[in-house]
Amino acid sequence: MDFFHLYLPIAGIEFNWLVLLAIGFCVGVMGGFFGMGGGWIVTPALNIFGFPMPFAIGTDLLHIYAKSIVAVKKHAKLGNVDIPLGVLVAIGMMIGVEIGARIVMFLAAKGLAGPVIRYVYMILLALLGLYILYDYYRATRKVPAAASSSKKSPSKPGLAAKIQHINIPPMIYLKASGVRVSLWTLLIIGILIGIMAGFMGVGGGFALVPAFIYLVGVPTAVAVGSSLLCCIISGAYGGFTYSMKGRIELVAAIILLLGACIGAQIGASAVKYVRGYGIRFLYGIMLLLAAISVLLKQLKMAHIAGIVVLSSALAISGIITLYLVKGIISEKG
Amino acid sequence: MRRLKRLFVFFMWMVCPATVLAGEGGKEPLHHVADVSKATNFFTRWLAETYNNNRLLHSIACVIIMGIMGIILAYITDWIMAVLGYKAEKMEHRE
Repeated sequence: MDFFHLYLPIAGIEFNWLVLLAIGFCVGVMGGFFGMGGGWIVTPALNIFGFPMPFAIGTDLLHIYAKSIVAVKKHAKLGNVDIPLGVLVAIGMMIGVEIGARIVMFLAAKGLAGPVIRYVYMILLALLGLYILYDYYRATRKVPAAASSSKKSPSKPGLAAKIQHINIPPMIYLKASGVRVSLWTLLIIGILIGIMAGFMGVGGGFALVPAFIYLVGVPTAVAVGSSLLCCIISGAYGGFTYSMKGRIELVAAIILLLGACIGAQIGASAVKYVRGYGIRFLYGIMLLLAAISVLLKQLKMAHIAGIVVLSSALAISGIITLYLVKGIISEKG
Repeated sequence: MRRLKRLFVFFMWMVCPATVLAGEGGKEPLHHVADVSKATNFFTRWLAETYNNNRLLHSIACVIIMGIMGIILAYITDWIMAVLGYKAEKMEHRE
């Protein structure tokens, strides 16, 4: 075993820690820049590079939990965290995560966890990539901004108003968000997103934020901060339950976290300097390439799959880092 | 509408405990035994031994260690960014 290879005793595999650091870094940069969690990339990337699927999910959940602590500290400082909202949804999420983890273990017992979850990832990554490309196309089309914005600019989302009118006791008033909502609404949101988080090893922020905004009526900034609080609690529970099931590699999670923390600072700082939607186009392409690499892994072409996913992620992270360096130089010069 | 609400409340009270219980039972056939002999350093060896001997302790340790790592990194990154002159609170999104 050389210097770059690390023995992971529970999974019983040797893994290059530089690859772990690179995955963490790329995910951190993209997460910091696009505001999207990296679970989408980490789980399939770990799997492509040799982690068994349940290990990839468990390790990813554990690293998401610690990463969310780093992020929530900043949001808490800004007063963007609605603690009752976060805790109540997280309770639902813990139930959901447990269900998701049980489904994964059931599939693992049948020897189906890898293929089934890979297929789910393939579809979701492709859909997400296509959506981002569509969003890019829509944004760059020459449509008068006023015309398009006039259609979708309600002061309060209609669905949120309807859901807030569901008076199923107990009703809860969320002070920081200024909304009154049924406990059941929060629990159901938590359970549904939790199942997805536990099944796929994602934080669920990408679903929590729109759910908070459009279903509960929470202001956007509070929705982001509170979703991160949910990710902490559900990630910790996910890490715990996957560890109890023997599907966690702590050292790998720590290395991922280190890479992600460095990357997240670069990504968040680069937001100041990058203009336009061009980078979003690249991100959409990257997600499509990630979907293709999952397909390649499924077709037992793990080597090519690894090259595709890592090179595309490194390329987009490199471009973002380059923009940041250029921005700093031009600012100082 | 009122009947529907009552039915929904009843359904929720019935379904939620059932959902929680759905996670119970069912043995996990795929047990991994950590190979301690291949562990290269003290930390990995300790993790592997704890995993083999006491799974609960290993799980709690994993959550606590990662939590501590998260808190430490949160402060370190804040400090580094402050040294570099970046304040996340003051950043504007230009897109």
